Amino acid sequence: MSSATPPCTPAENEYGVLHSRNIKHVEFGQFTIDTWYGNGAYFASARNGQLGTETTSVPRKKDGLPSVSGFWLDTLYVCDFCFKYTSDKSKLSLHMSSCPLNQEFPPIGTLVYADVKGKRLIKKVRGFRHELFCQNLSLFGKLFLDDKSVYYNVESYDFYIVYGASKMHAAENKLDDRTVYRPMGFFSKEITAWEPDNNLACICIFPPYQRLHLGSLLIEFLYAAAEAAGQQPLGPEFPLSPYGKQLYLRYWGKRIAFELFNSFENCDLITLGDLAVLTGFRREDLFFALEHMGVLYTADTSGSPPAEAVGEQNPTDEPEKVASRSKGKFFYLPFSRLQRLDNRALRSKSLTTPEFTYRILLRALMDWCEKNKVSTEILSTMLDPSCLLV
Amino acid sequence: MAERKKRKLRLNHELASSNTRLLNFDNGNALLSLNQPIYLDRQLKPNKTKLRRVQVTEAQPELAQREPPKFRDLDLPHRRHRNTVDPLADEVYEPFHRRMKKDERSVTLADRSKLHFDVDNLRGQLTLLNQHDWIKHVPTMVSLNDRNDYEELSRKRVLARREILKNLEKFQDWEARTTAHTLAVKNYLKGNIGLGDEDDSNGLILDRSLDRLAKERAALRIAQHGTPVRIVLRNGFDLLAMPHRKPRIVLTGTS
Repeated sequence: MSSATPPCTPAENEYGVLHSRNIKHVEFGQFTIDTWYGNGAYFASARNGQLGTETTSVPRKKDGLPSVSGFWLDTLYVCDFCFKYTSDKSKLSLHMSSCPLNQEFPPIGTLVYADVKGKRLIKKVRGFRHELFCQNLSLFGKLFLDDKSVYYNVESYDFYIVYGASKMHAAENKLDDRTVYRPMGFFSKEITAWEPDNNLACICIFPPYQRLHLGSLLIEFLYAAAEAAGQQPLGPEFPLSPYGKQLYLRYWGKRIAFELFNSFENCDLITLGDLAVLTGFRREDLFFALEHMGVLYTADTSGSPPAEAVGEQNPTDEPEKVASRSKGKFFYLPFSRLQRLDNRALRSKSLTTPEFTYRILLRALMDWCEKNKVSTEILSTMLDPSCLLV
Repeated sequence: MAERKKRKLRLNHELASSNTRLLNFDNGNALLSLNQPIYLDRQLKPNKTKLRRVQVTEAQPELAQREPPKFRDLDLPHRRHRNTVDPLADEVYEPFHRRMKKDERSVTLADRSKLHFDVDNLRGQLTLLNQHDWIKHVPTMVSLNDRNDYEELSRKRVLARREILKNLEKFQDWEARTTAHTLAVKNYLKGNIGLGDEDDSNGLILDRSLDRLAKERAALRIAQHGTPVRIVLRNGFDLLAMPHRKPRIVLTGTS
């Protein structure tokens, strides 16, 4: 990756958000990481390259930081237990020996998932209970997230942190082979989000721990927790970061493919509502996923209009009503919660007159599965439901 | 600056003619708004000539290749020195974080006042739609194809009412959640930690049986919220209402 940084424009200097990197490297535990995005919220001023905690004289203006091109700081040192930061390596070194969170088992937060065999824990940390920890976590997360705007007002957020026992860190102290759980990523959830069906504000797996399927674990945990609380359908807050979008699209696609090949074997018609009940995903997320998978097609307008096909459908119609009205024409059964429990009802007739505007090409879905190495028969999962404590 | 000081008329024809601020019920996606059925095409070689791939949003761009993190040996093993003063104690961060929090809050408060302003507008619009002269007000709220079409006016009035009521309900829900959360924060600041918010600080928790732990947590929740209620529907299903969760339908005999 190029380390050249284009100059910031004043428009880019929104609070905390910078479109160019302003910190070159981060030393995080035993890793040196190139930052992905800029974060102005660490600084009181861009001019002297000093962190806000290390300067007292420069007043911060509410309308953002002055535009300064290039890196403001070469290396930021971050504690990989509590996320406290400094630009002085010796301070971090001293801190590491006395960090209260530098323990085998993370002492803060409520345990909500404990996979002892797989050595993965998820702890829920409430923003108002551990404010400084959550603020520092948010600030650190911004270095790897494109679109994040809250770093300090964390009271209305819950943070779910995934901890893992990293093998690489065993070499840290050769005389001591204890298992130490370290934070590897997190997602946050806004309790007072305007949209009640948002269950994720941001998600970030720290670069050293990527490709361990921790993102999938967190997403599966989100949906499992929502199902346990009877709060589905839910989904993430938009816009998603490019990496978050990729992660979600793969997860949604995998689940959709599994359900379409296994739960609708003898059924020729579905609705997004049916799929939403079955998967716990929101309709708009399902539409978004189907669209990106390239399996959703529409007939050219020369065909029958959709209103005719479903029997003069009105916006006020419930799916059940539509189904009963069009009974004579084709088989359509909404997948309600009750039918989910006893889905023998689905295994019946099939459609004879396929005159519909939208269609999912199962051949294209099969191709998507092959391309993405997704099984159509087995739903692979990172989450062990027996380890859930919600 | 000269342009800014220019006198502005209250009535702006450009804005009035623009449809961007009006509710538009014509451009909704049938799959989302009407829950329209989708046909599962099982053909091995589907004829794509009469089909068009649905692509509403932009394609996912190629993700940038990132430099992998570099692993390095630690300079010294981290030994715990009891008498060392932590140079990164909480107090080091407090003044700057307090100042930044205040700045950030001003943005949140501005958003909140805008929200209340919008909700007031919605309430006003609802009153107008309920009045006898609603027909006069519908064009100011909803995008119309033909202003003289009574059927369209009447249908869109119903849709607009429903949309406004939905947003007002959303606001009520948001307000209730915000109030409950503010109360929880206040309680915490008074020294009362809510049930289920305690820290699991001891690693011995991992040696315990997860089943037992889950049961203990359920008992705590019952102590806090009350006992779950099961209504037997006598059709093979029961309605399970747990005070801290949304009610759901379960098979008779299952938990």
